[in-house]
Amino acid sequence: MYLWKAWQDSRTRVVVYILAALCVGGLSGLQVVSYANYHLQQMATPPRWLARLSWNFYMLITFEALGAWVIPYAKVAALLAGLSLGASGVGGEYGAGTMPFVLTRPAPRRNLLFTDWAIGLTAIVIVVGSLAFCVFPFLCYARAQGPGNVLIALPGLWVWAAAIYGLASFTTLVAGSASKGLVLSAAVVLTYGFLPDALHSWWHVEALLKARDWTLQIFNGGWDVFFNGASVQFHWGAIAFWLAVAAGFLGASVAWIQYREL
Amino acid sequence: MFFWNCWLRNRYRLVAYLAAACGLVLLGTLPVTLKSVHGHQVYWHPRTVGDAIGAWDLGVNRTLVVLVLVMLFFAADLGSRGLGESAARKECDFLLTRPRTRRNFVWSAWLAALTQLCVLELAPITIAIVTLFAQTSGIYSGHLWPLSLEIFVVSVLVFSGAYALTLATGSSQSGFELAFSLLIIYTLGLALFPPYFTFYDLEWVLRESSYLDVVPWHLGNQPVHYGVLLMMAAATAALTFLAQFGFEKKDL
Repeated sequence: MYLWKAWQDSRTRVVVYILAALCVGGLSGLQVVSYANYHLQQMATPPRWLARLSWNFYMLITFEALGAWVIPYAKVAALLAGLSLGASGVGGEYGAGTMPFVLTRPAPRRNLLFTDWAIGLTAIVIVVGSLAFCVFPFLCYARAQGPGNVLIALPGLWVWAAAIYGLASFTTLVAGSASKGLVLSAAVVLTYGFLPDALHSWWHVEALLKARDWTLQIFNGGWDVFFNGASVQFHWGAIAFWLAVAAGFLGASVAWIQYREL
Repeated sequence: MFFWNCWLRNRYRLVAYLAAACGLVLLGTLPVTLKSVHGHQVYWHPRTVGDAIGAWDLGVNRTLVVLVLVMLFFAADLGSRGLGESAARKECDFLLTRPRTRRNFVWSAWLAALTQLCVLELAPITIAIVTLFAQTSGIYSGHLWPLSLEIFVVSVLVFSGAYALTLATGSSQSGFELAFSLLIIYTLGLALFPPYFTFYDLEWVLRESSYLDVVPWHLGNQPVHYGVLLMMAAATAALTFLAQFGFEKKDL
């Protein structure tokens, strides 16, 4: 029953995000095609640097699509969907003033969180996936080499979005308000991106920067692989890290809701 | 009275942002005269005016980076408060029974936020100036004031946009979400479509917020485009009047 209610509460937001992802994915696909056309014209009279290198041009299209367009857009889509859906799950109950009613129902409190998480994560998988899958027809049209390189980025994006969803859900639960949870989690994300750079640049502290870059290698886009000619690889360590972060937030949320006063 | 209500409601938020901004500015300005000697970082006092100006430029750039981040985020956050929070808390029914026009409420909340933005802008700048003066024994603020003005104008624009969006949607969460999304899309647009955004030199500040000191800083040689600032001020006024118009027509 609560599953149906939670879906009813979040469906407008989910549909808007899916439509936005489809539009942005389509635009990325158009960029891929225009990029391919531009380079096909260049290939007619290849510049010296291109003639000297022996890489496959269609690999270039695929990796360009992945690194330059799909990942930055999908990263933003994952970030926004994770923040928004994470804050609006339990946050919707706080906003409507129905949280005390929901918590006094004869069902384990953790079920409330598991249901919200199930709906939120499904929506995130669809939103981020629809952005990436939208590019496939254009990649085929541009005769890029297989969609595998785009697909390989998806698990990383999904677990990253799940971790952000967990962060937003937890901060909302602790703050007792969707908007406060949203602001707190957005501040954490910005600090995570900014502070290691700042400390490295200003105080020459490298440890934080290295740690952050290791966790964010899921967004590398395969450039190193492309330039070194190595096989495409999965960043298992980073994916496991973000999965652990998401699971940690879920555990912390369950512990919080189990022991909190009404 | 409503002006003070809005001020007091956001005071802890302002204190938190002030602490973050001042802490980051200190982090950025303290090491401008650090020098590596035999593998150790030591402070040195600039002996020539050129050295002092170099230290100031470094400190001013870092202060501006911090200001951009904190001011834009605070503006989006603040825009979703004020009347937006009153709507979220279902307080509007009570609020509107008071013998004041709706226009009065809209502008009171807007002015309260504007004064808080001023405080958040000036306090870190003061700390930066004091810190840099203590290290160099001189004041060479360079492009600090014109660019601070630009950041302030952009922040007020972002705040007014979030304010209008929050009043339109009737939810502080939706208002903040929309404003934050627009900010991210704008920043992403700078990275992906630079030719479309080069009309405005604040782009360098936004870029620097991503790359910090890795890329060279060219702001000192660029003029401030006061025409663009005026356009932004006009857009700010238009958004606030739009918010006022929407609130006056809203069925509450």
